Amino acid sequence: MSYLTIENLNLELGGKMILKDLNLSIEKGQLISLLGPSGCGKSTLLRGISGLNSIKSGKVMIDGRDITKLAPKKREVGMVFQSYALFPNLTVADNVAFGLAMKRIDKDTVSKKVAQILELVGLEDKAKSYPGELSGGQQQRVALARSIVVEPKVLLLDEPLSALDAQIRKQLRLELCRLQKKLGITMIFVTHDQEEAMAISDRIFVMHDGQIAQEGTPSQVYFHPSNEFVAGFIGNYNKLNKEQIEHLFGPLIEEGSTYALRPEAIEFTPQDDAVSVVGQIIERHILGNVVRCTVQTQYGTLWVDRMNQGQAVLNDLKDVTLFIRQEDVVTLHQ
Amino acid sequence: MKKMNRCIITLFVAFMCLPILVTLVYSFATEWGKSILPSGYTFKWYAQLYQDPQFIAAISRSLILTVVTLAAVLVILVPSIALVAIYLPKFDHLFKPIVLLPYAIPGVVLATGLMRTYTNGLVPLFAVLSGGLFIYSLPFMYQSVRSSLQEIDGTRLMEAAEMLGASKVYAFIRILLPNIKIGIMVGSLLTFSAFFGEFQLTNMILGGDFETIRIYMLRVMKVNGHLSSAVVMTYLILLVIISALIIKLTNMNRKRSSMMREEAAFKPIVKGSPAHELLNH
Repeated sequence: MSYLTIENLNLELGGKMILKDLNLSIEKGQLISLLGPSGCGKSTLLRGISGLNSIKSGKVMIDGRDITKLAPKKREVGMVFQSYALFPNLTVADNVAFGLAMKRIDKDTVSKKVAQILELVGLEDKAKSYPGELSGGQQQRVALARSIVVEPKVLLLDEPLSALDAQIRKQLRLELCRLQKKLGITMIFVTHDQEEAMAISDRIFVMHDGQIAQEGTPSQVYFHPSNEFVAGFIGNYNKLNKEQIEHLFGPLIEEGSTYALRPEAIEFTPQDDAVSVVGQIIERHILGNVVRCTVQTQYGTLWVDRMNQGQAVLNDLKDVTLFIRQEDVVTLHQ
Repeated sequence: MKKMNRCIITLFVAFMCLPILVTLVYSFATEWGKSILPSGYTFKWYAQLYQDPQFIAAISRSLILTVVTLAAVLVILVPSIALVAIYLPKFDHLFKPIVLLPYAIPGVVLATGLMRTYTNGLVPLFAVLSGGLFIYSLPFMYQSVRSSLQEIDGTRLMEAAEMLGASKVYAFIRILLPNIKIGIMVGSLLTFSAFFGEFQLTNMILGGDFETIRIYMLRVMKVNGHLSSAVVMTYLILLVIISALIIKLTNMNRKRSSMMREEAAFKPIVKGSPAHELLNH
């Protein structure tokens, strides 16, 4: 049996059904991401698990215990909020000690645990500071320490890095990952950033319209999007219709109406078992380490991604031949 | 342009301060009627005032009425505002027009309504008056507490405290109250000034039976202008002292709690052992 199981969860907010018959299961010690666009219900799902929003029907089980009707404080679930929600009137040490004090743990143990966790997140010298005196990244570490120190069975993180700038965000997400692996905490991480989800997750649950659109490892979700929504949300897939695919490969492809093709799977050089398509590069965009070329072909416009190695040849290319392998084409379901 | 601005500001400050200054001089004047400056100066009006037991009684009554009502406001109204803002936000739009009602309903109407409803002897008139004043405090308290709650994202703080195992009451006292202290203080000061100087409701509901400082002032004004100026100045100074005391007390609380934090300071451990102990655990 899974460590956390959600069965047929329905959650209504302001008369609108936000989560619809949602099912999900997570194994102990995993870091999973709930990935989806704004308004898809990922934060609401976290609030449903934490008990901050009451659910209409369904069941939430953690470690074999039904917590569906329990108050938030009795669920043994921790939460890191998007806005950190640190207590401005308490020092960093007092913020971290708050949850332990609520458990009526003796002062010596509290001090020891607080010291350990602050050292772990690299804030041992900020114990006496107030949240207002810290940077965004430091505040986020305090929020994380405060939630971890009480040793929750599941830690929920509601877009915890979204308010930080890109550099700190990347650094913190790696630290978060490292911490999760070291302490073996089961974490549910909410994000709308697919790169972030790919970088840190053991499994990704892509959400759409209050339901799980697809679940799997980052590789599974990226290389085999199961439907049009996931293909559109993960990466920048080229979407092709049945007619275009039949022109390229004949009628032997798996039955479907829409197909996806990763931009990096298309090559400029001949490949085994690949069909060739002639086209013209009409646009180039440098996306850091990748150059995205927009190629006009007789089957429509295709995006082609190439590693950006400053190669002049790519800049000079205009008329190109693209090589596409049938095995790279993914059939999408509605 | 700068000179012009300074000139306008000086004129404005002079315009605002002049009445107070004139009242102050008048309260020390032996006689001031037919000359530019008073004919002489004296402390006798103040001496007369402070020796009058009715004045001391009036001040005491005003203080009792204000403190009792303010305590009720703090105990009942502040948690109610927080409760609605955090747990019943959908009723907030009903709360907003309700708190503005005291501005819309004239004091005469409120006093008449209260008297018609409660003068059957079952409810003491002091309680009726205190209840009336309680309603008058709604706009001040609501606006200041509500904006403080918004500023600190009170809902999220309460949720965070509850997730960490705190009860709603503990989270309210330990986390929310200290963070909306400034809002409560501003609301209390405004309410205190309004209650202390309240005349209409007090006069209509209790009148001569419960002579507060404002009713006393009005009575004295008809007898002696110098004496009434002394009352006004005393009233003003008293308000300033009480306001300063409230601000000072709030700051002292803040300092004391930060000192307590210093005492309970946690000692950072040397890198090497304890954190590794946690990791290896």
